[in-house]
Amino acid sequence: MVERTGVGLRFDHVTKEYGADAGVRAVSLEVAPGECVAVMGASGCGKTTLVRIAAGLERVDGGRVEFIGESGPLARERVEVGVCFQEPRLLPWRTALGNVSLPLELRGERRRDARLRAAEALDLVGLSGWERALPASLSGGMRMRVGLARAIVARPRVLLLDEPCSGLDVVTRVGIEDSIARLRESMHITVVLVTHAIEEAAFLANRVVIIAGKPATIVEEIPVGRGSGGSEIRDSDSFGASLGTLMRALRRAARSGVR
Amino acid sequence: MMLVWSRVWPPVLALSLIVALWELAVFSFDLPPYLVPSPMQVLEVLVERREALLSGCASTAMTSATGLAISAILGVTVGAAIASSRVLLRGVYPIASFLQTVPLVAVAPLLVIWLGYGAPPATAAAALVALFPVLANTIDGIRSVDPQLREVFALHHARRIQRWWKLELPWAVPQIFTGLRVATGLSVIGSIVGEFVSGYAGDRAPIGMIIMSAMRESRTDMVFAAIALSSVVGLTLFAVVSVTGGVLLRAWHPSARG
Repeated sequence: MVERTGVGLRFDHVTKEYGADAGVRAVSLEVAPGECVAVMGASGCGKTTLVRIAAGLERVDGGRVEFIGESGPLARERVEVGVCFQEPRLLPWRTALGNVSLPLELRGERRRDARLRAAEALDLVGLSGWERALPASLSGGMRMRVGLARAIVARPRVLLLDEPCSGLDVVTRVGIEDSIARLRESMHITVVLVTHAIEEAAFLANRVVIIAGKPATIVEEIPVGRGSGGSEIRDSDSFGASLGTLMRALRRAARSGVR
Repeated sequence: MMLVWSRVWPPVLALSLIVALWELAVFSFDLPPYLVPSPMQVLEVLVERREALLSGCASTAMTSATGLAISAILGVTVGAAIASSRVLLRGVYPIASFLQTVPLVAVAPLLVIWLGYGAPPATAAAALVALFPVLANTIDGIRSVDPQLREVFALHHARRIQRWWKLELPWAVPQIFTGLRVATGLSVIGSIVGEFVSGYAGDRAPIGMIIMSAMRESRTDMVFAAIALSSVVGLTLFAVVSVTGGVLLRAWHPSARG
């Protein structure tokens, strides 16, 4: 993959409320090009709402989301955004290859080129050899990987990951996390990761923000300081220290009564 | 092989029992043939008049299949248009629902006035009566598309035609085939009702006309034979539609597995 200029992401006083006590209020967060920021917080506190707003699937009540290029804000249409949802969201009648090539087909790319690039994306997430499999014949973890491959096939500048490993066993989860880490380094992607797992946040993110409250706001920001490297990071002392820091921060958020 | 046999023998046994009871009833109660012929008498007339019956059967099969094809094309295209527009859904769908309650027997003479005698009004009657199940199922199928999948298409700025071709139509296929299976039987009914009013006698008289002629001659055995053959037409259309749906859906849809 070629090195490219990164695109940053800015949430500027973003508010989206569902009734009196649900949603997010005045969330401001800046994600630098190439950075990975993990968003953590209790279930239903508004983490997914932030991802949906950034993806353009939800309108804000106030504030705005901007994509920032080298020379300033970019129109959303000019930025390729990849989204990996909590569920794989695959078309059951399409093969793994067909599902992954879908975004390229919708952009009008030639079917042959789209399929070639889809095969590359499947290879990147470790699913080479499964191109012709239908979703029903894949395991949950493999389906999530297909969803991830679809999110990266168009070589996005910004990747939004909404609990990409929820409900998966540890081995599958670690495999997917490793795939995401490799993609980040090879494609220089800016990532917003919503997760409940502190191991996932500590492994993938440079920074973790914790949101809490009704409606939710950012209550804490913790630099995790992820360096470069693969799966071996998990065995390091600094990784263990990051886990401890995150756990204490989540407890503080809980004790403060806003969680 | 065992699996096939385990599916075949229960209906074969049930049918054999019904035929045996029918034969026994005709024999026991000494029923006159003009009222209820025995299965053997029906079989005899099937063999004796096989040329006329098979020719009529082919004629009815053609009008039914053509009517079914027209209803499939119209049902899917109009259904897709209605499902994708709130205005059409609110404006046209209630009218379509109302029209399907109008008895076909009452409409058939109108079709003869408009289309003349022979196959055209029978085909139109078949298409008319088979249209609604396809239309309604297409609309329901498209409207039941998983909103999460719609979001995937929205995320990638899919055009309307892309969304229809790559998401809505494939998603609705199982339900469209449910509608088509219902429509097979209805198309034969429509065809025969159309033939009752527009039928033509002679060597190539369709089943509907054979039934009418046999009724006038009190040839109840011939009526029974024609009814049996019309069922064969319906069953054949049903089998063709079911097998086609099974082939299309077997790989991915639970309804077509096992």
